[in-house]
Amino acid sequence: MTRSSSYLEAARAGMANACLQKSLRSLQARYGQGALAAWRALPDPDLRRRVKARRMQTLAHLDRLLALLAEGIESRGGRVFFAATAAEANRYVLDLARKHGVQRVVKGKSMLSAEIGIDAVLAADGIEVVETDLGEFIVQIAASSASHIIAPCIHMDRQQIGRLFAGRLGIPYSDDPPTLTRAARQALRHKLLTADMGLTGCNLAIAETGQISLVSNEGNIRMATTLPKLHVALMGMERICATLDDHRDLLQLLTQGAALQKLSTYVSFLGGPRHPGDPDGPAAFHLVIVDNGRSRILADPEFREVLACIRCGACLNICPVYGRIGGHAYHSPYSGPIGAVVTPLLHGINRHADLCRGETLCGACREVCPVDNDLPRMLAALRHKLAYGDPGWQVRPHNRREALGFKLWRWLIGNNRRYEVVFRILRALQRPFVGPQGMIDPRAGGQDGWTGGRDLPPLAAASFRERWRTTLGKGRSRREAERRQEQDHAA
Amino acid sequence: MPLRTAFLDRIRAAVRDTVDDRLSWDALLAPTDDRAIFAAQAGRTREQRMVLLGRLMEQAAPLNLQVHACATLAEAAECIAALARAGEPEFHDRKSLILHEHPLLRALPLDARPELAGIPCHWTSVDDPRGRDHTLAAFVGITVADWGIAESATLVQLTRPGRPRSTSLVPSIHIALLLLQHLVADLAEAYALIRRAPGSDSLVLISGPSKTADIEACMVLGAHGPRAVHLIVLTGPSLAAGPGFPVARTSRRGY
Amino acid sequence: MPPQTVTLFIQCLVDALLPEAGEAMVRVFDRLGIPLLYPHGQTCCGQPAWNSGFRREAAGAARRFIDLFEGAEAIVCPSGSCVAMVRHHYPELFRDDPAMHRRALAVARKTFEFSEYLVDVLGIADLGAVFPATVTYHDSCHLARTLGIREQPRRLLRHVREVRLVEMSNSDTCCGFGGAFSVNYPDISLALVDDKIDHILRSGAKVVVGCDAGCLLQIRGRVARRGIDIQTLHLAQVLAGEATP
Repeated sequence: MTRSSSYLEAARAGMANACLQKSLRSLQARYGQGALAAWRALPDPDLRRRVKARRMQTLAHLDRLLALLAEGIESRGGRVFFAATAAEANRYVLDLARKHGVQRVVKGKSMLSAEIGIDAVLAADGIEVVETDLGEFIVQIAASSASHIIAPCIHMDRQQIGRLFAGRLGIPYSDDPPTLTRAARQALRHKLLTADMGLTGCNLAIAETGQISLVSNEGNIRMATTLPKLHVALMGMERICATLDDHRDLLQLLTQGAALQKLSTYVSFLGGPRHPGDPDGPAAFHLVIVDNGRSRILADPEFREVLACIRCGACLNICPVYGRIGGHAYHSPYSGPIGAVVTPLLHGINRHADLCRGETLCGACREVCPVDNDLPRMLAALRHKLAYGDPGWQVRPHNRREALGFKLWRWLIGNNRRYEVVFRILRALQRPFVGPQGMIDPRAGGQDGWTGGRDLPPLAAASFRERWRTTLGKGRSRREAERRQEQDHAA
Repeated sequence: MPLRTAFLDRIRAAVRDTVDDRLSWDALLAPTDDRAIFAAQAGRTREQRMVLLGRLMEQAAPLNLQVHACATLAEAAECIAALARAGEPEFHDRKSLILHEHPLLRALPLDARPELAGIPCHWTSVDDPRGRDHTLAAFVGITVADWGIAESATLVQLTRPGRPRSTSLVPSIHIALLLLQHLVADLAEAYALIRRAPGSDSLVLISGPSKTADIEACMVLGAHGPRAVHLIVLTGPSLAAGPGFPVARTSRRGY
Repeated sequence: MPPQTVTLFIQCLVDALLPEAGEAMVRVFDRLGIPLLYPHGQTCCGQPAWNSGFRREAAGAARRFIDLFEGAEAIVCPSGSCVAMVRHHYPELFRDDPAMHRRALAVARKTFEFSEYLVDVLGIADLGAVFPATVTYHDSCHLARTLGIREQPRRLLRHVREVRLVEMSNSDTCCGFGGAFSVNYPDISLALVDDKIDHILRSGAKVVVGCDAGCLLQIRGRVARRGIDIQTLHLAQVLAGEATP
């Protein structure tokens, strides 16, 4: 199965999943449209633009801000590790786990952890890794993967989850969400209370104060960062703001964009291990700051702004394409419009060509983005690289036939006489393919393409230019000339 | 640290082209002027604070944060006792409470409450080896919120010596006390206070009970954290004695 | 003051597949006494190449367009996406060529979409058209989001006699055309247009009006294949009185 067929196949599977379709529809109606309404109602209509400008300024000073963050955390006895690659990050965390004799890890939801593949690395070493966010937990024990960055298991219905829990948690079958949630609460409470290490992501770090911050509604992140003796936080290097004021603005945009909340139920600020005198909290705190391809994005002014993203998920909630195909088609922890840009940039543009080309550039994501990111512009730029190749990004031209087609097209439209001749030839050739209804016969186009599901009108018996030449335009230039003469006389 | 240097150097090189257009380092980190915010907070009358309380209650309702206004410590104790009596332990057979070691909580006349007869009250401390067990056994955790935010119905809980994070997290029910004069209007005011509070690197903003809607978008309260949160706002004018807004929190027992 | 001459920019899709929409636009301008020019040399603005990433070819088309049209007083096109191409992407194409960039900006400044030209430039909303039907309006993506043109088509429709304009929900959600997307990812494209058709049906309208040929072909093609009784019209056709419900 080539990568390109797996995108389409996963997309088709998503479109055929009735539960997913129902979830996406209601999610988008409520949260996508809701976010748009929220931005329209902002007391300061300029907020998103200002915040974007601050994000770009932050990126321009990223090295010093990361250094300042590390200083703050280290001054309190925390440790900071800068991992250039996923492999470096995984090795560091594994060594840490071994050193501390970790047998059980409880995780807060972290897309970065999925990006670097830390779970498999720890599991291979015999360490038990438990997702504690309910949606991620469900997806983990179902051996599936998340289909939305905020709501991971929207592709599963309550009956499936009920059967899953009956099998894996040993409870009597139920499809009542409160009952199922309580069962997960019980099962995961034990894990959270007995884990040796909490592994989380980081929503937003604050350089000025030397803290990281995490948002959640469930409380699992608070537990994972309070009870185990070791806390490891994974952070994408761009997920930092300069000041507490920046944090305040970004936090509210994040929680509004994600779930229309003024604030999530919990916002945790952490600056290091427990203080002397703190009865709980981790004895050891490690922040792993990860590059893994981000510095390359940062270095390209065309794509730099994608690092302003705060991973709120609003673009997923507005995108009509994502809203039909679901997250699995993206083959990445990052799905939706943001995933369509970031995944090719991190993991290969040719490899993820379908993500670059498989949307309509409708612009809804740009409208809803809390930090004013122009994802359609970047998708167009990715298509540009696929068209001709790009040595800087190691892109090969994606489709030689298409390239040839456009050379031909350029030749064709370069001269109107040429264009008209070809038009007339095609119009003559199409005659046998025009069906009794006056439309192009579907069998002419094959199963795919346009005519697979849509009728197509034939090339017009009289094109506009032909009509202009024969009737519409007749006599105009003389009338025009006369009118101009009158004006000149009057002037 | 060669790895760190290489990492940061790579970033510096990546943004070389922004050198001419970007803000200076000092401008980027320039602190905002909080004076107006502090003046507004300090100048608020009791009536104005009661208006904020109204706003808090409005905002709290859809979030399932239960807000109780109590004029005196005795009323607050009565409220706590009633909640302890009505609540059901979730993970154990016996009821017990865990409370932060805090002068305001110590001042509550809990011993006088008949509802609490037979319900042990444990107090957190800096180095009690049984502290964790008491927390795990408790079905109610009681803390004092440093500040409340009316606009978002939020409690701000700073981590302090002897007052563990788990008290507001592990028991099924969380009760937080808040002095009226510590209720602020919005996030901007709260952030100004947080910035000024020394040693405030560990804190949490709590806006209601824990919840999830991961299963078919059905909202369920009580995912991992407390399934119920009660905020008792102490409104009595006599309790307003003392500094309205602490400028420096240096006293170990201060609040 | 005599009216500005309008130079017609008739997009390739209209020229080849929906010439009646272009013709309708001409009749509207004739009724208003607007002098018209139509440069025969025009072929394509280059949008298909741009969308697929072939910017060199798109730049070639853009150069030709600029050469042909830059002498115009006003350029009017019955297609939002082509106008967006000229206004927003032509300057981008010539980012590194200051002379062409200047020329592109100059042309962009005088390129208008049809409803925009009528309402914003000519200040006209009532064309004396009659169309007794319940209609709904589809906001095409580039027109609505890139160019910010949403009210103008609606204002024109509301002045049509005997028309009843109803709003569909999600009127500005993409119909799934997206140019090459419609043939490269047909399954997804069909899912999107089926959603759009759902919204049209639920609005109670029997006619959907749009300002972009791509959208119209997409919607019309699908309702025809599914045998659904919805009429798809370009705004110009309604305003010119060329169509009957």
